[in-house]
Amino acid sequence: MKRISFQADVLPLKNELFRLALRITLNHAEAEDVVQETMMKVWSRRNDWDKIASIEAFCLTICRNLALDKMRRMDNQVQTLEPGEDAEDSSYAANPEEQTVQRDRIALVRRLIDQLPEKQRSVMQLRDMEGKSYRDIADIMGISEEQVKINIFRARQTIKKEFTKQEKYGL
Amino acid sequence: MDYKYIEQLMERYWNAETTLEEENILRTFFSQKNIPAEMEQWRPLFTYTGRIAGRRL
Repeated sequence: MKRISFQADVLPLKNELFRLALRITLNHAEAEDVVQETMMKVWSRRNDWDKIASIEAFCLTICRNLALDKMRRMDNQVQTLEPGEDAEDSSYAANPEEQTVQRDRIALVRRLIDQLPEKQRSVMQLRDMEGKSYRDIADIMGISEEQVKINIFRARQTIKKEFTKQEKYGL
Repeated sequence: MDYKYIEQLMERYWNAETTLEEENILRTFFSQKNIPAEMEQWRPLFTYTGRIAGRRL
């Protein structure tokens, strides 16, 4: 097996770790702290690196646990990720009014994701955005593959259902 | 362009029936700049957009 280097194998994971931490904490500053702490923790465990099957999964697991700790300490204030500036780009929308509706819909989906329970948010993050297999997600989160599937199913169903409901009865 | 295939994939996606490969197709689709308005709202499911994606640590 190839020797793991902090520079080449761990540092490049920074953005991926940040996205997971952000998905869990819903707070940019806290997520940045989590990434820093993850890096330090991973470094302090460097004597174990040879025994690790996947350094990426190892880092993601540590990152998730630190983010969960932080969330508990943060008193779980309900927050939502700010919509990005990208929302402007509603390509097919014909007029400003339609564009506003479109922006609201995107914001709604973002809010629905953020309101899911943490486990569902994390599985969605790892699956839908990072493209990980059920097996890898199970390893990272320390749950069974079956649990991963159930959480993914529930998360997607909830988003679809809530979205349709809110569209029908107004925001 | 025909979006029937993507719509079919989304149907399967909601039921957690899509494979990783099929979800890769969806991710690629939603990372495009111009997608139909009726699909646009699902973009946040697959992509980190705007300042989150562009963010540097």
